[in-house]
Amino acid sequence: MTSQAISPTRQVVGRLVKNPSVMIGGILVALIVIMAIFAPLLGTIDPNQTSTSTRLKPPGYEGVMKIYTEEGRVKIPVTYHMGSDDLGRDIYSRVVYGARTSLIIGLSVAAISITLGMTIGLIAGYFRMLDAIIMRVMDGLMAIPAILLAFALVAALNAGLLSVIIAIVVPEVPRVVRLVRSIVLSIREEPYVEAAITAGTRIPTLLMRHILPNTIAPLIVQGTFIVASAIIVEAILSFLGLGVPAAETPTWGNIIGKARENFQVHPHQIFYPSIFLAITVLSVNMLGDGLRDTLDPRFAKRV
Amino acid sequence: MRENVLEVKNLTVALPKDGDRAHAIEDISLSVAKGEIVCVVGESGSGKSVTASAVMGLLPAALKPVQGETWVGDENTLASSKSRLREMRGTQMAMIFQEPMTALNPVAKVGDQIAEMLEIHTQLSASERRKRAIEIMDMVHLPDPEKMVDAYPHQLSGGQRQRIMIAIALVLDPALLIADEPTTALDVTTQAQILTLIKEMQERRGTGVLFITHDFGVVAEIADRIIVMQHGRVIEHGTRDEVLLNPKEPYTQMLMKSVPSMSPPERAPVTGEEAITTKSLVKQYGSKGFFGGGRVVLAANDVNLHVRKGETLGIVGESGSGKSTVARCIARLIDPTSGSITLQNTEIATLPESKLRPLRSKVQIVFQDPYRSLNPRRTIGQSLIEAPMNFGMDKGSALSKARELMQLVGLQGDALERFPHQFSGGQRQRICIARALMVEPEVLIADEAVSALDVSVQAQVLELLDDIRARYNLAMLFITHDLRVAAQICDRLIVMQKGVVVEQGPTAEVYANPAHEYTRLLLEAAPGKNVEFGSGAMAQMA
Repeated sequence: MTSQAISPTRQVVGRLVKNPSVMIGGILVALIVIMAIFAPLLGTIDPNQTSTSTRLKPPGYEGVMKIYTEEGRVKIPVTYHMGSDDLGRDIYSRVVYGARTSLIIGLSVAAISITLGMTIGLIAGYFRMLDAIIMRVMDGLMAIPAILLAFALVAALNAGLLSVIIAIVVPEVPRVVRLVRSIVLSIREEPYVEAAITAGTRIPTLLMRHILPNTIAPLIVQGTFIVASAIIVEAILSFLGLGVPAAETPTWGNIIGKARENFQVHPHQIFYPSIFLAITVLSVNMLGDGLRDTLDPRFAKRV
Repeated sequence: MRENVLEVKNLTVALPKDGDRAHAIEDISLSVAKGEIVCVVGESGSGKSVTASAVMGLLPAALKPVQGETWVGDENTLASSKSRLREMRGTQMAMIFQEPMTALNPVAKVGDQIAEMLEIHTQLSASERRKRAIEIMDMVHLPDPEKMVDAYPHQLSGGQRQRIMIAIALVLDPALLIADEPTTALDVTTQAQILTLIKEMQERRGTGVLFITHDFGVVAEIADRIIVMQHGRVIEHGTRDEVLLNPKEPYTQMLMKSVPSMSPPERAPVTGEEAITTKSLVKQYGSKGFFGGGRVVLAANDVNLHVRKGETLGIVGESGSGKSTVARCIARLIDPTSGSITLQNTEIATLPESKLRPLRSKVQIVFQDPYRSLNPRRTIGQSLIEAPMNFGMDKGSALSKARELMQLVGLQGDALERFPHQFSGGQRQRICIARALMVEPEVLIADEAVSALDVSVQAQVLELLDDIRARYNLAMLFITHDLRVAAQICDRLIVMQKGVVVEQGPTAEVYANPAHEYTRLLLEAAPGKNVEFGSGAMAQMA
């Protein structure tokens, strides 16, 4: 027994810093986030700016973009670090700005599905009466593939950020519900929860104070995997033309989708966004694996 | 050829750097002769299991033997190669474990698991292996081995599974059997049978047995010689009678004094008013399906009991007897199926949660597992003031009350700022008792509250419980499977079997003249029942 009060939370933070995959994954993710936030400062131009004179140029091409504004024709010298696409847009700028869409979708899908899933999971796990009904609905939702749902939403609403997010969230929620429910089912049998019941603690307090904190660590882990899978699904949807339209916002998926048409002649157009997509998903997954190893007691090292 | 089947010489095993001491075991020397049972006893963390694992070559990677020799027959297992150790396990040395369910493979037939040993170590054909398996199952007194050889572990009872484990261990006739708490997970009547079996095997086959246990009753039943360990060192060794009756070292003397006696002291009957009463209490699990299918279990069936103020009522019985079900019904952690529970003239069996909540402070409970009874994320202070603040006390007074109660249970006031993991099991149990007292209950339920504690700590917590029962005039419902503990703390006893109360009466009377067959069986099975530990006198041995 040590003389100082060491909170369990602080011990966990100490272990996280020591884990190499948390550190490497975390640093890479941080770099990508910084890149997305500071996109305008990284030597980029407007990612949607077309230029007929500099179409389909190879990486490193230095050209002049001719832009027609209200004041007349303006010439801007541009270095196409990653070449240009079939409309003369700078692929480098599109890839850097594309990180924004991927991260926004990844993070918001994770945030929404965890918030919804946690609430529903707590209710399903604690109230036995509702459990069977909620879980059958969740089973039903899980049967809907994200891609099919995206088709339906794009048909009903229109292609855009919101439909993409909804399409990915819907099949993701039941997975979170199952996770939270299983934790609640086991924690509610813990003697300290029963002690809180005999202490006259009301159900909302009981859930928030004694049961919910046990779901945080697994949910952080699950959250990182949701981010990674949402980024991939978004890329798939955009590739198929069901995601965010390429004319409005560049995303890695729609850059790849567009580049597919010129793949045999200009393979670099696919190469760069794919590399960024792969590194992002890999680093998020590394972070998630590392977090699981440190936070999940089933993977805890035994002495 | 060495004379002893096992000789451990100056064995030292290092702990990893961040451990709480430098060595798991230090300079251990012991020996087991042919046909001898040597008991290694000690409290948790004393290094008994590490010693056994070192001999078997089963130490976890983090633990490194740094010095010493472990001779099994003519071979030093510490110096043996992995493949040689594999050959020796089963043929020269074998081990049985505490938990017979997890030690057996649930998806393989028990006969095949016995035959596997023969398949690895002998040239016998499949039909011969099966024949040998049936023979050894017969030898460990399993009923109808011809049929049981094709059973799966889940079809067997705990005692039968442990018999299978013993059969696996002994099928190749090893000279040394290491038994690591083999009866701890078993009920007392089953435990008695397994102990008899181990003794019989050792006598018939001349096997040397290293028997690891924390239970001095078991030691008294089975040991030829005893080795007492503490903090990784051998404190005392000697024959059974020397150590149990006339221990020399102060630590052993203290341990022997802590073992509760089987003979209940005289207690004056308590005549206060009834604090809690149950009438025809029934708890049924499962229900008949729509077509009459489904299985119904009556966990508690027609239980009538009352506890008076200032009285301790014990409920004893084996696992599955329904004793905890009764306790949890009274605390309303589960809803009784029918019957009544009266708490000071209020019927609480059917009260809805909203009406029940104000009454919850009257009944408090202390659980078995001190490691799971406190929320690991909240400080002791936060855990203690939760209940009184739910019942309307302000934070300041709740905290000062918590500080007072910490003193009462023998802990410092500054413990309130710490987290549960910074305390030992015994300290945590004291904290749980303090938490129960925070709301000034009328009824305190102790559900196996001392069962997970080491014997010396157990004695202190029992004393504390008895002390607060008297100080606050509490009605205490004490649930235990341990007849020694029950003898010492209970005024009256209820004996339960399969959900039914089979006997009740004043403790001394039940122990002296058990009326029911099952009570007699329980008392008969209690290990070491005739030994007065540390008494100095040569008590009569069974």
